[in-house]
Parts: sequence; structure tokens; C-alpha cells
Amino acid sequence: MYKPLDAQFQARAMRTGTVAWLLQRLSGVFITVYLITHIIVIGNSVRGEDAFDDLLSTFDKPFFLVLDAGLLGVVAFHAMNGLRLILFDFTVGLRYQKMMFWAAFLVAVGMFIGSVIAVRNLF
Amino acid sequence: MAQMALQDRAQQAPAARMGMTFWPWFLQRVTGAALVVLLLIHFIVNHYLNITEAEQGILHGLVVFSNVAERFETPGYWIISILLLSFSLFHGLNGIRNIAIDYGAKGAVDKAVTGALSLVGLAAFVFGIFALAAFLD
Repeated sequence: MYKPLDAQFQARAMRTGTVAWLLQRLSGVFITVYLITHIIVIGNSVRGEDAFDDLLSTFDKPFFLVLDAGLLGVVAFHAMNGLRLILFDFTVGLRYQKMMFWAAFLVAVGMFIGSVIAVRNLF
Repeated sequence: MAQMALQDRAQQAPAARMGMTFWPWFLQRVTGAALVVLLLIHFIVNHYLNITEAEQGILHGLVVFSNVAERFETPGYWIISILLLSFSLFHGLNGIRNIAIDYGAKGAVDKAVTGALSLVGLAAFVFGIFALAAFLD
């Protein structure tokens, strides 16, 4: 069973597995908070077409586009690291757990950079 | 439990090893794996394919009501949207419950946490369905 957070830090230095566990948890909470916000923002559709388009156009600014790319990066990390954890549940790939963490991390960074490049002309 | 030897923990089923019961563990994995595919479709269809149209001014923004409404003419888009809404809410809120369990929630506390999160999930799901249905008008 997991130990509480502070005990985790005391018990051992921040090794790859601990960092992966912590990042998975933080990204999970962040994405869940975003999800509820996302449902509320898109829920402005009930106020009609004009109100919806008016609100959503405020998010077309470069600042929000970079945030969107960052969100995609966080989601990509959580998704790839999540697949890694599913493999571990079936004791598959445990020997490569560090490498697989860095693979998930690289996919996330790649998605972030790729997304910024994809929307560059809208800046 | 916390002091259980590593070898003993390895012998346990994955759910028990993490202090979970079978169904929440199983559904967290199933919805998680499904969300990888569903979100990939969501990002490509909603946020990637319309970049060019926004650049050329065919769309007056990245997320446009009439554009979303067009997508809802495809029945498959409804299926994907409702699956995304329900799976993501379950996965996110069940994940929060898992954190509560890690911090020692059990019995009445676990019931209260689970009840509160279920209410949030149900309310967000119903509101989400209304939000999606609004694109039909």
C-alpha cells in the first residue's frame, strides 16, 4: 500500500518510480479539475450560439494556445504513464520501468512542442 | 499492511496490492485504456483538423458553435462524446477516491467520500448531456 506523501519522501530519495508516481497523481488531480472546468465552459452551449462563440473566442489568444499545448502534454504524460502502470499490474516490463517513464515523458514533451508548432500560424 | 514484505505483496492481486477492491481497480484500467483512444480521436477531430480552417478564416475561431453542431450530425460523434463524458468523469473521480483511500479513508469516511464524488460525477454527467444536446438546436 502507498505511504502518505511525506513518508514517501522520507523513506527514500526521489527515485524514478517515486517521481513517476508523484507526477501521475498530480497530473491526475490537475486533469480532473480541468475536466470539470471544461464541462462548465463547453456547457455555455446552453446559453445559445452567440454567447458560446463569444466566450470561446477569448481562448484563441496565444497565451491560451500555449496553455492548451501544455494541457495536451500533461494528458499525454498521464496517458502514456498510465499504460505503463497497467503493464506493471500484470508484471509486464518491470525491468524497463525507468526507460518507460522517460519514454512517457518524451512523448509528453513531444506533444507539447508539436502542438505549439501546429498552431504557430495563429499567433 | 504497510509493513507487509515485498514478496508477500507481489503475491497479491494487483487491486489488493494497491488497497483497492476489484471493480474500481478494473474499471479504472478499462476506462483509462479506452480514454487514450477516445482522447486521441477528440484531440484530432476537435482541435487538430480545424487549425487549417481557422488559419484560412473559413472558421472565425478554433471552437465554433456551428462547427461543433455539424459534427453532431454524425451519430458516431454522439457515441464518442457520451463515452468521453462518462469515462473521463468516472476515471477522474475514482482516481480522487483512490487518493482518499491512500490517505486512510475507510468505512464511513470512504462511504462519505464516495457518495460526495458520485454526486459530483452524476451532476456533471447530467449537465454535460444538456450541454451536448444544446448543439442540436
